Amino acid sequence: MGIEVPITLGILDGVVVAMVAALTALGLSLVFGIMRIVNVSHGEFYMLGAIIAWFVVTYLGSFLLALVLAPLAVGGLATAVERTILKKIRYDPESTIVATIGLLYAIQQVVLATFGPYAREVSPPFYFRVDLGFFGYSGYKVGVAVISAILIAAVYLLIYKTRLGLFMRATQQDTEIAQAFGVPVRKVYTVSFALGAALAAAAGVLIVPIQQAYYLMGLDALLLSFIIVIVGGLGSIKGTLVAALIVGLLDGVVSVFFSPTLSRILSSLLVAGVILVRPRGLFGSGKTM
Amino acid sequence: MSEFSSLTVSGLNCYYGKAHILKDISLTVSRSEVLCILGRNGAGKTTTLKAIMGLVRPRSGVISLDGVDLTRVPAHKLFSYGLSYVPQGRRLFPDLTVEENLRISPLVRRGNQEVIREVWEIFPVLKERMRQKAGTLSGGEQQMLAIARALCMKPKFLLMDEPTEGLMPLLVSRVLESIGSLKARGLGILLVEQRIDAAFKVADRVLIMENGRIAHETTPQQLYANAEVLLKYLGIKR
Repeated sequence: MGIEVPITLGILDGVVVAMVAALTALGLSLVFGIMRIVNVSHGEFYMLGAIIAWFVVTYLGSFLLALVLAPLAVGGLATAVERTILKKIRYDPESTIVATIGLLYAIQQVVLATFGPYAREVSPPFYFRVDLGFFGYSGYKVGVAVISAILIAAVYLLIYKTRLGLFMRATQQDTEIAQAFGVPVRKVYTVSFALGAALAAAAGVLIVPIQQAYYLMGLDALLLSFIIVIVGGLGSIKGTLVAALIVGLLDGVVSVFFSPTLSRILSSLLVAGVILVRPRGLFGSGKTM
Repeated sequence: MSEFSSLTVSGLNCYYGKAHILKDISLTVSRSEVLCILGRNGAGKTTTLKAIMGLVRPRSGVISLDGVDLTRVPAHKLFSYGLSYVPQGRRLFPDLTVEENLRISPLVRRGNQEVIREVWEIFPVLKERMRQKAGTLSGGEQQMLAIARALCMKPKFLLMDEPTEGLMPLLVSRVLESIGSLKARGLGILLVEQRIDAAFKVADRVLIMENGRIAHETTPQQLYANAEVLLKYLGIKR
């Protein structure tokens, strides 16, 4: 047994982390791109996805149901937040940051009060070993990467092939003029915010059999999403995916040999480097989606 | 369609914060008519158009089309009453393709290509470039696309904000020609211009705005002859 086993394992784990992180970051990027607001509570939507998954799997016994219900519930919550809080503060960028920080703590405390301060396990919906010859790999993790990829592809199709997607892109490029051409901008905002939250929730559901559900897990996801979105370029799906793979692989491979903290340090350096060289990110053109 | 169909603005007052931008603006555009608003920068021409398009909310006043009050209609529903807009600086969606810019229109859907086909006929060069991103078109093509996009809303009244801005002379006359042919097809056009020669060529009537008010109403012929008005409101000496 040489070095190839831990490296392969690191790469595979890195890809799985990357796909889930890309899914989460895509939600953040979508909301920022279209509404020009930074949703600091994005990580809490991810955490809620994981928590709801635990409840659904524990009491209803179906992981598949969790994968459907959690994004719907979190999307519904986000719709309510958008219609009440964000609308009230007129999507003002600074006020939104403060408001969503408040929301972050509110969600955390509600979960702490109901779910408790425990990290709870959810068992994977299926077990099988993918035999790679010299070692086996968790079939569930492969499943996570595949489902994430499918969801990302679905978002891509939504944005580039549907009328709603056209409305989203038009709103992103010129909100005022979009209205003059019949785009119901308010509805586009609501749908985008709900969709962003639902994507984070779906990522939370997928990750919970690997990482456990915990009321503080959102913070890490938020940071990782920010790193990915900044490196990839805000509003760019391709950039989000590429940046997620870079950060994920870095995380996976470095963590095999050194402490996970080092991989975070490297990611942060990556962000600093990208901002210095390309302030708009690898694929960001400022306005492109 | 009534022959006397018209777009009417009466007693319109708009504010940006505390600044009183539009003061008691009243005007009427009929179908098959080009009404041109002239005036210096900051006179309130663009704000007048934005107010009619529902993009700036007036504090008082009424905007109506064929007697239907549009003052409180949300901006994204105004098109269904027959209003459309060619904004200042074109304001295309630069990262959408030419075709997507037109497909924004709720009237252009897959399967119902009639509206878009009409537009291709008027601007054949756009059809050649339909898969190209709008931001990569030349200035003249972008202006055509801005007009085409507005036409895809099937307007009865078209608001145009400096459609000749930044175009070379040959293209200016092409844009003015297209305004003439739109008028001939029965559209009412409210045209904001900085260029006085453009107004002379296509306008039926001319309003001159100054400091948020309509200072003078005239015809192109009268304006052409009136050196005093030209100098006082438009700073043109002849």
